[in-house]
Amino acid sequence: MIVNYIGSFIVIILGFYMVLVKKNLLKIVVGLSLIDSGTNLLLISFGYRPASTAPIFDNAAQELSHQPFVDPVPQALTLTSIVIGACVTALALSLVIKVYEHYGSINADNVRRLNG
Amino acid sequence: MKQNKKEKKEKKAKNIIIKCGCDFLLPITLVLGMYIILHGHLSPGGGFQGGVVVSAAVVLVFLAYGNDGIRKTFAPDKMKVTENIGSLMYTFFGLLGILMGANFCRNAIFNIGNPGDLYSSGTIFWMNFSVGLKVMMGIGFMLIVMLRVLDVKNE
Amino acid sequence: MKRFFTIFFLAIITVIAFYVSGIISVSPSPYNGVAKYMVDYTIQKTHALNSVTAIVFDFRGYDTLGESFVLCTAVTGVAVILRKAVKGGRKDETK
Repeated sequence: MIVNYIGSFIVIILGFYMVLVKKNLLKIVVGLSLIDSGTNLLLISFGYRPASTAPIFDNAAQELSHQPFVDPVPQALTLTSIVIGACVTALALSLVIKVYEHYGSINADNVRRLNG
Repeated sequence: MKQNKKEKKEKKAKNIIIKCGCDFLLPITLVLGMYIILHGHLSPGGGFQGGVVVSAAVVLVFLAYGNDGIRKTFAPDKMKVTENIGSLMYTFFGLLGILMGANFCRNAIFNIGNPGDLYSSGTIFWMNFSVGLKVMMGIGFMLIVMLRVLDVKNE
Repeated sequence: MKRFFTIFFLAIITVIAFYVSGIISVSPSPYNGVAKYMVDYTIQKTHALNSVTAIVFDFRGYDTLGESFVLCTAVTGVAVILRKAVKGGRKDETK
């Protein structure tokens, strides 16, 4: 499906634009989170097979005669990636709290030199 | 003085709606989260997903009762100890493979029940539970610490 | 000037990304690797009905142990950075 790939690449590139151009620290953290979301969508889209269903059996008798399944390995890797993205966002936000307490502003142009 | 009374009445009206919502939604959230954790090997879900659903109870209590409600309801020191216990449980069930069979993290006790039961698939059930415990307590503790910053600043 | 160069390079990367996604979505994906083995032997080796949970906790359980390290580190890091809030008030500063 071409829409998945194009959409995920657009989300990743918009995330990069926010990290590179914006000056507000909170907007930079939102850009980091966008990059994570785009990468997770790209990972899952790699396992697509036409005319297949989710990789979960209904009962034990379906072991030999089931419908074709999509690839379950990228789904397992995406679980780990989502958790890591959330942890990075939490640490970055707590750092922004400390920067505001110390410098008094969250503009990336004003927090340039070590203070105190 | 009349404006002060009217403001207090408005605040109380808003607070009652949120309090009733929290009282209604809190047991449903907890039970749904535990269901998702325990049925990880039968339906979509597992340890990570269910743990995050349970730890949303902290946010509900904060919205309705403020930081005083969190201080009366949760005990953050015990939550941190329980998270470490969950992590050690995961390592113990990984070492069970070495004690009974061949390699680390091997499912050596998978013959316990028929496929389709609740207590069926050996170490997968116990690993689900320990990872769910770890995520519940870890993210709940992190949320309590971050929400306390709002209180310290506004004094 | 700097902003113009940034947008120019991002536009070049966007065009390359569209070309790559056009090639990927047309080529078929083979399904004769380790994923086929894992799906075929899920019920026989683990008695679990969910293939994704069997992969995360049984066939590749070592990666989940590494991920719980990341969770532990993140929670400890937040508790250390926001130390004044953990102790419930001001720390005693002896300056």
